[in-house]
Amino acid sequence: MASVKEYAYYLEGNRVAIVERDTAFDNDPNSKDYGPGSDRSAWKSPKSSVLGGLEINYTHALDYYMPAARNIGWEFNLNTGETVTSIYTPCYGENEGYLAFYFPGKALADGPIDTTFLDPSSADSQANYKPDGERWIVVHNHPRWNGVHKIKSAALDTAVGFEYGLITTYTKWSSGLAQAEADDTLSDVLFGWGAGNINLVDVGTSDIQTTVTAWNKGFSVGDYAFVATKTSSVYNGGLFKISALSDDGNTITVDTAYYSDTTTSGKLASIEVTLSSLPLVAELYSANNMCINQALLCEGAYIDVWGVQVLEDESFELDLPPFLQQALVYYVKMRAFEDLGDIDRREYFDKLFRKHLERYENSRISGLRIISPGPNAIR
Amino acid sequence: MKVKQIMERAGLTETGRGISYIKDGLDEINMYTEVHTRTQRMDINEDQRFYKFPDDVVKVLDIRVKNHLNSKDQYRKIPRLLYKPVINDSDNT
Repeated sequence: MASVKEYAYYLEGNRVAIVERDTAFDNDPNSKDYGPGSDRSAWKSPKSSVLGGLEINYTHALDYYMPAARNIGWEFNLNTGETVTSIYTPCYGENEGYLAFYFPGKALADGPIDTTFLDPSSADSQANYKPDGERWIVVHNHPRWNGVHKIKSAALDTAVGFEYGLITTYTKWSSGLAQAEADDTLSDVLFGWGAGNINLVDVGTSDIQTTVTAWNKGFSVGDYAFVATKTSSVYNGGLFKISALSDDGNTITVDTAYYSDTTTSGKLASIEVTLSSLPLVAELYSANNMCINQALLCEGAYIDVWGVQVLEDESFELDLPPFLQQALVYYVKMRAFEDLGDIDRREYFDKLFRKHLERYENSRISGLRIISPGPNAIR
Repeated sequence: MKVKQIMERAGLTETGRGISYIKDGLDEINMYTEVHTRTQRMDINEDQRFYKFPDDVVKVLDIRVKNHLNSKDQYRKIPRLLYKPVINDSDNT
């Protein structure tokens, strides 16, 4: 049975600070709090990790619509588009200043999921989305990025060499997450995999290992890293955990690879990357730039990718109770008169708008009311 | 009701301006009433004090934590501190 805890919160900017009451005795005789007694207890950062421990209930504006019953899966392609509308995304990060979502495969041997047809330039996007294949996604159950995002790319980007398992959005995000990237304009640059390592390799006349000394900088041991480059071996792409970083800046060593566990909802399964189990396969890559991006986990998060319509043209149908639609008309009129500088009419429609909202609120309350006991009630 | 119908009733002809007002109006409505609500769960990590609100939050209705004043894995509403605690946190950036 779980132990009883006591939490509280306060606000700090756009963040909520969760603190836990620490009732442990202070046995430091030099401390003024020395001795037993929970009356001197202090509020501190959470003393232990709790899976799914924080629950936030909030209102949001529904400015999108998906014309299909949601069916969440682990793999999505054009052929299954009518049955799988949403896909789990257990990790995310930043791709060149934009929010990106990563998709490890359903099994380690599958490699990252192919997302190329979600690209706005794909045939499916061009045929079914507007304008010019513009595609939107809706993120759910994510610790930070819930809501509507527009897809920037989901296919091979020749500038950076991404291809599989990645959707980059137009949502700007300076995350500070690390990225290991090397320019392939030097034709002799190769990237190598093998024995749990990903590194830069010297070939030809170049001396890349001594000239590039900061390739792996910014990462820390224990960080997650996603390789979205299309490699010859499927084992060399996807999500990994970093176990070591070489001092010369050339090598990233990983000890665990991850894939989606299809028996649970959006969780990750892992496998140790060792020579005896499923190693990184020895391979040299020189087709393009190769990037390794630091990833953050968001297990359980999923994305609506099929048929998402957003409020961007006059044909969009609002999902709002009819009574509130009238309030919305008043609001729009209020803003229009505000822009015209007609303050009297602006105030008139503002009053109507608020009155309408009040009537809507009151319309759902009827009958007797009863007060439920609060946390400090007498037992 | 479609966006077009709202614009016609409000006498607007510019689509961009109309959509912008409607988006603002949806936010404003959700600020006053609870039309569209959602519950988001996050992991609490040891020694991590700060957690970002989801990106689409208009108004926070409730903050609950598992096992707060109970041992039955129930999520219960937690109180708001009037003052910040004396002991700061290392991730206070």
